[in-house]
Amino acid sequence: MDVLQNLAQGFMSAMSLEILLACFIGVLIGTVAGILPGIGPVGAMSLLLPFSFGLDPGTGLIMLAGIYYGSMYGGSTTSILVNVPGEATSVVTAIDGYQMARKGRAGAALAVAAIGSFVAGTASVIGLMLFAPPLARAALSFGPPEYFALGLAGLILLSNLTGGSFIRSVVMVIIGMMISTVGIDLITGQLRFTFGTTVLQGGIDLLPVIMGLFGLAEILHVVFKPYQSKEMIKVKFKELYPTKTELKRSIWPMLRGTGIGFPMGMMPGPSAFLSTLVSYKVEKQISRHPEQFGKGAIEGVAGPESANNAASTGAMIPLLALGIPFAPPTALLIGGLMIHGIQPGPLFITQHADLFWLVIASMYIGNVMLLVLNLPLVGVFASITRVPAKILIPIVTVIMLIGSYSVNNSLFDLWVLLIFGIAGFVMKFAGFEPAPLVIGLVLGSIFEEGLRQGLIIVEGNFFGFFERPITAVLLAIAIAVVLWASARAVKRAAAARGRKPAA
Amino acid sequence: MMRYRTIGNVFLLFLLTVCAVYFFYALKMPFGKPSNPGAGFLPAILGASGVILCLALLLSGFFRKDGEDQGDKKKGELHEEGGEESETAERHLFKLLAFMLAILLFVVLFELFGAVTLFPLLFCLAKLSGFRGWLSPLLFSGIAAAVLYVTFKFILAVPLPAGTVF
Repeated sequence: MDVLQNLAQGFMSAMSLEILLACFIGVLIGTVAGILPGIGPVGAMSLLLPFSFGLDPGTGLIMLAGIYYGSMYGGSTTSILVNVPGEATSVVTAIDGYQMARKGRAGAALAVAAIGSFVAGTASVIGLMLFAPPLARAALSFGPPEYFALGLAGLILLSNLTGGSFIRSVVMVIIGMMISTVGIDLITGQLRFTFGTTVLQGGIDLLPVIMGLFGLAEILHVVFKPYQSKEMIKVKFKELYPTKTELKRSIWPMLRGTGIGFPMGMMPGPSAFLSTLVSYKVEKQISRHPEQFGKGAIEGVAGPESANNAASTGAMIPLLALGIPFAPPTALLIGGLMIHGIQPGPLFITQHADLFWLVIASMYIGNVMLLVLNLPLVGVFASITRVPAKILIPIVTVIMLIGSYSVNNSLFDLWVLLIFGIAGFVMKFAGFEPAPLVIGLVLGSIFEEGLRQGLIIVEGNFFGFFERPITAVLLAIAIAVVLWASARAVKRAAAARGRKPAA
Repeated sequence: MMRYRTIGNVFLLFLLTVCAVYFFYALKMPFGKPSNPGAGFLPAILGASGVILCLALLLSGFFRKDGEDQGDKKKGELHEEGGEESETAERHLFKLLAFMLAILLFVVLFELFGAVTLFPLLFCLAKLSGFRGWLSPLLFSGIAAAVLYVTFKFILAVPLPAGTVF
């Protein structure tokens, strides 16, 4: 009953013009960001974050959250109509979605993608509002050792889930944590790695790093390897309806996708992207017509699109309940909260209950807005891909530069943006992922504080961590993952040696 | 064009240098003891780990065959399809370097000359992004600079530098 009352209160607060407008702007920009290759949700959120300074915390958070889950809707449009996924999470949708479009069923694919996203998004918001508060209450009993173990498990899981080399991901996490140590040590007050400058005493801000790695790096990549607009399959409004058979075949994949995506969203790493892979695989395995996959199976659209939306909402649970972001978009939301003086953590839900329920209510509203926007306006959104890159690139670059400068009115942030933009561009060719670096940067201070205070608590005896049940479980998970990744690497090396031709 | 492996090794060398320098400075901080870790406790661990792992990756890279490079290439380069332009790779590289130089000059001059630097920046970026001739990029950069300035300064109330030179 409390939940329903709180939700009702949240809806009442959300029914203001300012909130509704912020929600609408967020989901609209998110949809556009999802459609345009080169501008992802992280890039769009980082562009808008400085401009949310003038808004109150709830409005700013709602707008930024809207961009995040809105981009999941937008990415499917170009996947289906142009075979160019606007987002990594829409790569799998392109496999069968584009094939459906080529057979004249683009409208059905778009409709199923939108409906699946709506179903998954709405169901996941229900899960969020049911699971986040009790998790936050449980987390109130977390001490420094628990946060250390959670940070360590999160960092190791993330390193293993990015899909690239485990060691390379660990190196990126270490680099991110190194960056987080720059500035004033919060425990002793000592200056670290400031090299006598005042500008580094405040540390290196998260926003220019993210803008550089995900925004400027992508812009530089587009400049280096320009993409051409492809011929787009046109869809008429009256063709948007799937047949009864298509809808019937889509219902269970939507529900399964939701069930797969939501828990995966709570895990560290590119959970939204990974959930689409898992969902596609599941649907193909249990389908009565697996031979249709890759040739226009509607299950291949319904399942993954539902999974990625569910995952994006699931990712909000560790963010809101624990104050720990496990993915760059939620790291940005944390940045948004902190800019407004709100400290994310287990106390967030109790101390800012009105804000929490306002965000929940707005997510319901946002999902309805997205369904209404994406179906009838699909042609309009898809035509955005025709905006020439020569117009978009300069404007987005300038917005990025100004946005980065405006965080602290500091030229130093522009240098950070430029340096990490170049680094992010080089990383694309060097085989390194930027996400682990960002998570290392965000979790580094939580991890260090938990480690140092935890060691004081256990009086320097590291095994003392294992005497605390939650810490022991989390550390065991971390150790198990490291051992498994190492065994896998050894096995791969042995297999590679076995394939070598005899001398 | 540099191969991915060469780029990877050069980048790893760069990371190794960063980690080594970091570790050097970390050792100058108080390490403390396990029951009371100092400010240099985690930095020393991070620095040492970074150096070891970067060295391991570099060494494994030197001993790895060419055919195994595919696993190191960034996955999902979503934007390559759609056809290559007729320009050579070297010309793309020149454009890229010029793009970076334009942004670098903007960063250097932004606080000196203020928001007026938006116009030349937009002009350079427009030319490098594909605008042909002179009139259209001039018009585009003029209009875009004005719109962006008004949007940032007056609508969003973002403080922009007035410039110290004038």
